[in-house]
Amino acid sequence: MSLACGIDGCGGQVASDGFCDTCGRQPGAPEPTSGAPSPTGAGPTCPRCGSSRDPGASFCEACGFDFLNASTPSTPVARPAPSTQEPPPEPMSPAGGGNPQGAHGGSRTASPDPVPAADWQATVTTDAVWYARFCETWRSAHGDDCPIRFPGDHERSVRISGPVVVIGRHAAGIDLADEPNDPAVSHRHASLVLQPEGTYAVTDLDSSNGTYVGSEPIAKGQTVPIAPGGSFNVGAFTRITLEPGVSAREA
Amino acid sequence: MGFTLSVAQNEYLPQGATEVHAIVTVVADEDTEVTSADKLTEIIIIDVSTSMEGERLDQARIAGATAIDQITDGARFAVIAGNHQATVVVPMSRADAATKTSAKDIVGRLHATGGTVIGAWLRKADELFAAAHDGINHALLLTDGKDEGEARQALLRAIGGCEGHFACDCRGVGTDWIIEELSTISSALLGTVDIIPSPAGMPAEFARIIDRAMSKNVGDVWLHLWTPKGSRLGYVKQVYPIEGDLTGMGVAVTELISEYPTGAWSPGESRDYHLCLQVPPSRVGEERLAGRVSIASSGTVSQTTLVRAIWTGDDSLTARICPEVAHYTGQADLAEAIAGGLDALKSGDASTATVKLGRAVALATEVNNSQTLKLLQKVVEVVDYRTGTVQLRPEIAKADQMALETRRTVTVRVSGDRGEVP
Ligand SMILES: [Zn+2]
Ligand SMILES: [Zn+2]
Repeated sequence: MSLACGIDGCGGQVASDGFCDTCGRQPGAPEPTSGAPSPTGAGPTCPRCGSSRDPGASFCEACGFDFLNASTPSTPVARPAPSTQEPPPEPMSPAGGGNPQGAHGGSRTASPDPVPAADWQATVTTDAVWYARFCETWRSAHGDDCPIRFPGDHERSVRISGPVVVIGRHAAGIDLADEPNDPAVSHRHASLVLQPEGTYAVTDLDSSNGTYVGSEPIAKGQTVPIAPGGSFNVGAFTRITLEPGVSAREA
Repeated sequence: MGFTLSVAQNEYLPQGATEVHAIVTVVADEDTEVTSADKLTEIIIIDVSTSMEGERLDQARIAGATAIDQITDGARFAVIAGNHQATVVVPMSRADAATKTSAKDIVGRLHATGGTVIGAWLRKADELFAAAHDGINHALLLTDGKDEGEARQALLRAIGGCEGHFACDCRGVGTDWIIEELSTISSALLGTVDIIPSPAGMPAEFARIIDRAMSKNVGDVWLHLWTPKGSRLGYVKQVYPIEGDLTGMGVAVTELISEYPTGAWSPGESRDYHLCLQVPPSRVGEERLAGRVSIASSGTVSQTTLVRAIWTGDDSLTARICPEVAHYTGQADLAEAIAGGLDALKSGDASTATVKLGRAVALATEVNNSQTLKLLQKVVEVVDYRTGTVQLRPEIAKADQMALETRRTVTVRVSGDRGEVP
């Protein structure tokens, strides 16, 4: 279990290095002793992003919200900075970590921990049905036969954990250049992002051949949750199935 | 392979400042298992257009044979003869005494005819690499001329199609090739570019390039960078041993994490990266992590190093200059001054050329880059190194001018010790 960052309502996770994985600040660090008009977390806050507000400042330091010219928080006055045109995106849950191996260290608990520390097992198999479909797509796109051969049945399991697991050729999370080596997988193909519920969602990293859940490609920027036992396809013949590992089942 | 990272920066920022600079040094482990040769694939691409006829092709035949000799037994290799088309003269084979002998025989009988369509050569190489087993893929591309007979867009598309599939070191022999074309290829394909002024220099250069390619033992290494919410990336550049901007090559892994390709590494290899990060402002007394940097490759992530920002009202802290940051900023200015000076020279503006190349001399002196200084001295006569007072040489050989242009991004470390020349 890791500590949640409470600074300015951040809600990010504190990594093992003591810094928040979202805002980079250090919950629990001593408050600034000089030059700070109001202590962190106290005093007026920005109506849009909740950051603490320097009395006398005309713009929010965090999001650029215009305090003076905005009559209500919902109608900020347009400024050249793009961040004022639309509300900032919701904080990612959980935020990406600098340590994809998932070594969250903190033992303190400041607020309910939204992310159960979980180990999952990704089973990488060859999928003949998917391969047939890939070859058909290849033929219609290129006019000739797909040069990639089906390697036969393969199955291996990779233990995954941590907020972000990158999938690709020589990627740190799930390395698909390993046997049976799917050549249609990109170097950075897809990533698994841990959800607050403790399950993973998959997102495509703008790969050449796409990431498919069922037979649907994942659209740019879209994140698709994978239920325990659920799977998705990448490359010419690869299927990845996610199962809770021992610690996730106990959680 | 494991990597060790360290960071040099002045983490203290004055009130209101948001820009954080850091130099991250990455060192690949020395004591790592020997590369298994079957991971290595090499393609040698030799220009056989009509202009190569004569001494250039004679030396290219010898250089090709020398290169083939340098290929480790067990590695895969192929040879492409390039003109207006790409001909696979030596098909992809596993290197052993017999395949090397027959390949050298074929290369020894190359003859010159036709034009120069470099995009076709790259597409053919990419095709051969795709059929080869996955691993550490490297190409050596030699040309003596300008890309012709294809639209600029076609060349750019061909380059884009190869990105991430193989590394490509480009060499131009003589002075009729276009630096911009080859440097576009080498920077997109994480390789180097250089001039071989005289054909006789080809064999030694080929041997050096292949030797280095054969020493790589991890093929696909990424700089993994986390930055806090609300921050913006100024740039990520490799600054040693050669400058190269990676900013546009990043792959966003999450909203806050991007990975930047660094290509293949040899055991013991060491490189420096300059990170410029724009962090959200904070109050004096606050600290914020500006970045977490690590190296991701083949199923592992290295130790993470931290880039910090601490806001303080103490001028003695914020005024400190980080020597590494200043040193590499100086070398970036040096490369820019050279480029500007040579541009002016090409357009006939001698006075601007003199000023900019003079500034380059002063900068090269300051950062102690003796190799660059030597190249500059072939173009200008130095009156005063410190102030950068120079005179253009009356006769400037085109090869010297091209050598200065292609090698201007080769850097040295703070101590002034010489790095590997590309
Ligand atoms: Zn936070
Ligand atoms: Zn705000």
